[in-house]
Amino acid sequence: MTSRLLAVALVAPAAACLCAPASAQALQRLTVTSFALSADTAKPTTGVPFHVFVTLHVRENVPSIQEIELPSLAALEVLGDERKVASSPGGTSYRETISLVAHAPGTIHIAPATLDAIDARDGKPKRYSTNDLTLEITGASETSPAPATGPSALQDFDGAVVSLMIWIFGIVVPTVTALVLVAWLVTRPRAAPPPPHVVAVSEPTPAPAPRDVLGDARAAFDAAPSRATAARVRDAARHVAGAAEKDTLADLDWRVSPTQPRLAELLTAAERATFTYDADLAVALDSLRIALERYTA
Amino acid sequence: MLGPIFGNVVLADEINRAPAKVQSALLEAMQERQVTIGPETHPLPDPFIVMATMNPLDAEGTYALPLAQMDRFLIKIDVDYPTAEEELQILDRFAIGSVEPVRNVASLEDVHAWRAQSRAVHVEPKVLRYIVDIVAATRSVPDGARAVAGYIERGASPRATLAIANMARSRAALDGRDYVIPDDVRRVSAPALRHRVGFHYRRALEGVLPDEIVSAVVAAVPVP
Repeated sequence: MTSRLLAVALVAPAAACLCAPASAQALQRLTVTSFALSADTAKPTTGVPFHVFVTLHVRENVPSIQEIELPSLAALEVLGDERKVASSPGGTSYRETISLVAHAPGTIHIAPATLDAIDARDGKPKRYSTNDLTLEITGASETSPAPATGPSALQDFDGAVVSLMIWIFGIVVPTVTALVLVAWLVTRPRAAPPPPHVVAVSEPTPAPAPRDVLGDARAAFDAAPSRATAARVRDAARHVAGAAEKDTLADLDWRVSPTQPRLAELLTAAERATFTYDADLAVALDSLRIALERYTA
Repeated sequence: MLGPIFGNVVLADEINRAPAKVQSALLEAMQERQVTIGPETHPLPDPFIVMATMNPLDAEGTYALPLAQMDRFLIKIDVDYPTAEEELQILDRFAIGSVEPVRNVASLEDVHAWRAQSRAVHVEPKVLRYIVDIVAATRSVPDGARAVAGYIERGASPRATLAIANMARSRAALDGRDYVIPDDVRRVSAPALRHRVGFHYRRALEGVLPDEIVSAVVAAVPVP
């Protein structure tokens, strides 16, 4: 996959030039409502993987999206690529996640991704473009300076020993002596003090951690999968996602999808198992079980 | 010869410019699904869909629809100014010199099939309760929306409950699901309620939009 992507990345500009005059009959007829390029961070660190997303929504219900040209990513190492196409009568959403890693600090400009399609609104072939991206790659070493070596390091070491000795004998020893003296004065034997008044105070019960709540709900669901236990998993998953009382699935999906896709899947599966009709319940419960396994894996 | 109301889709442009008698006749036809002329009764075709427009900017010489008549409409959609891109498309289309002729995009059978598909969508009792709670919240505003309670004079009718349930089913079907989730209800609530809630005159004086009030009320109802 990586080599294929690298090849795609390197030949993308050339391919775009060759494909531009492609015959309109070969293109898909689409009504593009959104087409964007984004990244999960604007300042990636060298050696730390990050992701770039290409998202597209069209009004048509199509099984796949063709003719998307990815931008050139030659300055970065491509670790992987995942494409998701979700079709429904309301339209089709396409999301491509490209995992990347940078090896040198600096500014990287990623050109827009393009899509060639026939605009369903006027029947004309068009080239759609996303926005472009500018990423500031920062070096990992900027936050952890390299240790000093050589003669200057030896001088630094001597100085450090002297400073340490001054600190120990000038501050620490007198302070400890004073503390011991005060402790002896306070704890020396005196007349018998009255017995302390002991009040039994129950320890505050800590609020269950989100993971614990989900664990309990999962145990109940595994023991007896049903709409009721699925609803319990849904409540727990909403708790994990930090849902307020008024939040619907769309509110939560918007928040957790980019960073916790497995939790988003779990929320969707739990929603289905809670609200679907009886004939679909067995399949919905099975989907929920799989989503739970994927989330907790 | 039967009049223009005997169509599957009837467009009543600027309905508030029609005299009250015309409005009344149209809205009665919408409810009864038939027209009586003298001794003869003519059923209206099925499906019978009325789309009406109102221009809210100029009320001179208009006849405002009473709330009870607005209630007959399933939803109200606010159409704002076009975006810059849409306006460019308008220019593009009109630059040709003539508007392209209307094409058939669906048959009556398609519409009947979609309607049957939408009616078959399942709604769990919890979700039905959520719909009822939302409509009830327009009549007795919950504490969570106390700030907008003073703007509501009359809550929505039971037709609002039916409209939200039907619209939520359709939205679920459009989304490829055969069961309704609370999201569907939330999404269709404002279009189904904004013309059914009676607002206090203070709302207009203070420039508060109906959707701000409706959204606050809907958001105050806990999701099941």
